[in-house]
Amino acid sequence: MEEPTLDLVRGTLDLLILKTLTWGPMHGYAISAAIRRSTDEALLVEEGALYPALYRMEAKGWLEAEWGLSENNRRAKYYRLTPAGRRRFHSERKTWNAYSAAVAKLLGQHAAPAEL
Amino acid sequence: MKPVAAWRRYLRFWGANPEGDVDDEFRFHLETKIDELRARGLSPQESRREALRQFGPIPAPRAECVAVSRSRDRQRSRTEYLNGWYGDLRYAIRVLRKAKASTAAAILILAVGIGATTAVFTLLDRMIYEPLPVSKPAQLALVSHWFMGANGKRLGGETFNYPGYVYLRDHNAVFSGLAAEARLVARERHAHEAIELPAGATLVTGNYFDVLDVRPFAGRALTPADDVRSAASHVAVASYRFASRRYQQPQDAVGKTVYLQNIPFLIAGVMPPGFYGMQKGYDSDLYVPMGSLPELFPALHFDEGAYVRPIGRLRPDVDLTRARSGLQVLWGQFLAAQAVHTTDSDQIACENGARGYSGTSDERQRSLKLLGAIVALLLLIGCANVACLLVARGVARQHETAIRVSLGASRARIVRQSFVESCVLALAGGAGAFAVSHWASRLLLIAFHWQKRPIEIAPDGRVLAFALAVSLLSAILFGMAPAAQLLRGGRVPLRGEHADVPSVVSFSSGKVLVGAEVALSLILLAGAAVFVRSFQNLRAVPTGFVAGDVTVIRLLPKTDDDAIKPPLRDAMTLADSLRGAAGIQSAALANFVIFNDAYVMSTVRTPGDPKLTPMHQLMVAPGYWGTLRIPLLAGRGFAERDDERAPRVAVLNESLAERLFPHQNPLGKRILVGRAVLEHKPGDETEVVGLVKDTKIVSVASPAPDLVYLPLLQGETNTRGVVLEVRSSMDALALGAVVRTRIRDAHLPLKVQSATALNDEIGATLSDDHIRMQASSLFGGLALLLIASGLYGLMAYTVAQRTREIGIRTAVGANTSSIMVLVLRQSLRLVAIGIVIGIPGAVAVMRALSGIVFGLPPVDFASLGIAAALLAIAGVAASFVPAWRAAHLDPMRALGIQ
Repeated sequence: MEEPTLDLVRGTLDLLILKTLTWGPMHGYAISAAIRRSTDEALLVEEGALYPALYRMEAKGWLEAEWGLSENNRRAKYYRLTPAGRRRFHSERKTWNAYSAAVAKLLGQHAAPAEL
Repeated sequence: MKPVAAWRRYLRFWGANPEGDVDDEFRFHLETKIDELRARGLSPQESRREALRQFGPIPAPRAECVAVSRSRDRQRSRTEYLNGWYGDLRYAIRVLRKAKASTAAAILILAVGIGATTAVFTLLDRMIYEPLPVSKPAQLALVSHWFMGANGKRLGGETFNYPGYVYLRDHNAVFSGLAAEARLVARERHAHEAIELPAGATLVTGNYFDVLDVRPFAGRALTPADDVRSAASHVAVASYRFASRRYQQPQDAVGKTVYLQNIPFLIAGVMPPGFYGMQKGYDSDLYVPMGSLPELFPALHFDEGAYVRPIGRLRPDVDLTRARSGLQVLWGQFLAAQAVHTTDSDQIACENGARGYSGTSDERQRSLKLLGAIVALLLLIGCANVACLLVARGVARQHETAIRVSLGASRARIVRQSFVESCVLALAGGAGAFAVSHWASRLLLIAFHWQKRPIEIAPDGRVLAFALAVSLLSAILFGMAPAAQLLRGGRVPLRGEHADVPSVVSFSSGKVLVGAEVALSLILLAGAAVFVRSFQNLRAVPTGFVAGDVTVIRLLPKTDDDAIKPPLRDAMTLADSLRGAAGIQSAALANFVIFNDAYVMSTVRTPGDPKLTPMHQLMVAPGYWGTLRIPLLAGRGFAERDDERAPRVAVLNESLAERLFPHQNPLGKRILVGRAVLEHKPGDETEVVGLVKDTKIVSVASPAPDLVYLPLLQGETNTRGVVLEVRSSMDALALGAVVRTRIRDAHLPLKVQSATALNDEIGATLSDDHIRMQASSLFGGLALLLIASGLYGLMAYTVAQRTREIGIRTAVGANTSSIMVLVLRQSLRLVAIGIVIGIPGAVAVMRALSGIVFGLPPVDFASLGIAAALLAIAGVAASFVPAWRAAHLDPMRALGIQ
């Protein structure tokens, strides 16, 4: 896997995790399943990559984690958005929308701009 | 039983937290996935394989997760640790603010103690310890030479003659450079121009600034080329202080001309701020090259005498011992080549020059160091006092500590909390100490008569570091007692509200502290008593003359011309005109003031005997002995006729007469003085015409010296001025005005340099004794105050503790006085124990001081008694109020408390 791609995926992954957790506390498996479903299995290559992202976001204070019992009665670690994580999500989403709009606009153009 | 999955075995290699957490989480993920896949109908093996495939490789994300949670844990524990300190700090400030009175008292005591210590350190550092503000001062070495005198004392000194210095400079292999400065100051003077604050110039060798490695602030420094006097104008280098004082901007000095002894000097450069040469406590205004010396001081012979003191920069591989032995060889060669007749034991000395030359005399240094010891002792007493205050407060907090311990606070945390409190107190005291130190160092400058010297008392890095170190050290000292108390308090089980506070423990630590305070104060007070008594002895010692009502007026010729002889005839005219004036009993002249002036030591012998007798020599005019009331024992004093043309005559004091002519009548005997001692023609003999009683003339403490009086008009006076001594009913100020008027009215070419009481001149020679007396008394008084407040606090607390007992005693009929005695006895017993503990220390200190006090035995029991009595009085005074309160307790209420 090439580094730039990974970086791209990683940044996107953070945003997806934040988005997923706006629905409520979830454990890692549920997050991965939700992302898988909502992106039509397009983005998440390997589920293992999810966890370092979760840990980093927890260290940054965007997420809070707590051990609890899952629906199948197993010990699971549940992640929840903190207020800081919620703020982060909104600003990330804004940036991402602006960015993707710009990229879409650029890719949609047929001729290169005269001046850049 | 489920078979153990491959990934499980794989995971089991790693231990618990935080690895365990990560593993648990991964395991949950995989197991849930497997369940889901099996529910979709896959076989267990297939499900497992598919789950692992979807999860991807495990080690990399696992390692990353572990690393992230590790660093997070570390950061969190660090934050918790810092938060703990922060909490302690906030708690300490809250506690200290709650007890405002005792906190303020503690801060005040510490501020005075630390401030006084810092002030003395500032002066010690400025005058003795601070390294020179040049690069790598440790490489510098001061070179001097000396020989063993007949009395077993080192004679000679730091100065060399110039050719000797040049020989050492040019031939040595131990210094990368050897510079020198002359012990002469050239004064700024320009004919017909009045100069405000005239500059003084030090003569230095051209390589001086190279050796010290100082770069100029503006213009250029002196160079070796300046040593050779060229046709070009004289050059000088200005100090930053002088350049800023004289010119608008310091750099403006470059290119300006100053006149030294009427010779123009062009200022070539300005030295950087902070540079003051090699001598502490001075700051030469100008530095001029040695090449200008012959013109500045035409009367001096460059090659003769000892004028320069060298300072060298050692080569990197040379130490002081090697430098000394190298120079010793060269110095022997030089002396041999010059065929100089010297004693064969002329020794070179090479000392560490990092500090330059100390700014003050050995006696002053001793006073300063003594002062340092006194203030350190006071600070110790203050620390004991503060500890007492904290312990007293700690008693009230025992309950709180017990609660904290029962809630699980560790002993380390409790001690830490206590020390944080102590440090906060000490640092607050240290901050207050800056104000105290500022004023105390000004007072010290005044006490030492250093107000006009360029001594920077503003704190620098060294002083700040010292103050901080002393503050923290005090915190540790006074913090130990309350910390120990808290620890013990922690062991006390939690009690109900009405339980007695375990007073035994806390009271005993209070007793120990007050006892220590008394012991330390005894040392300080005994020292103070020794200095006071020594000073009284010095003032009471008979001098052999009557100094009261005598005013000393130093007269100078009116012109600035150095070449002129002292204005003896004019002064005599003035003295004559004063005699018989209203209020004036007598007037006389001499070449020196006895005490607080220069003096001449010389030798005398009898014509038949080659043996030289050392003696002091004073030149006086007729009427001298009468004015000072020195009894004439035999023969006559001087008369108007004993002038230049008359036969040489002398008056001896008793001691010298007895030494020269044992058991004989000295009158009419012949002696040889001055140049005649070495080679004399028949007419050079001096006849002894009078005999007077011994007097002290230099120091009150040392015995009266052998003394020859010679007529003022016969021979060299060695001075530019002359001294008029007048016995009158006027004070010095009034008499000075009278004399000025006389000079003006009679158009005499004289001016009054100073008019002082002779007693003040004598007092000036005792200034160090005076300073020691004042300082030790002042700080002894402060120690007494501290003791009194410490005892008061302790006794007030004890009385409060014993309220019930005293109530019972009163109820069963004890009268007021017996209860007062009860309390006073307890306080005095404490003082007595402290005194007994302090006696060995006080005796040791008195022994150490015996070399610098006058007229007291090595262990002065009277001083010890005075100190003990003062402490006892303080003890009674401090416990009187608590005792009174105890005696007038209402027994019903005292018992009702329970």
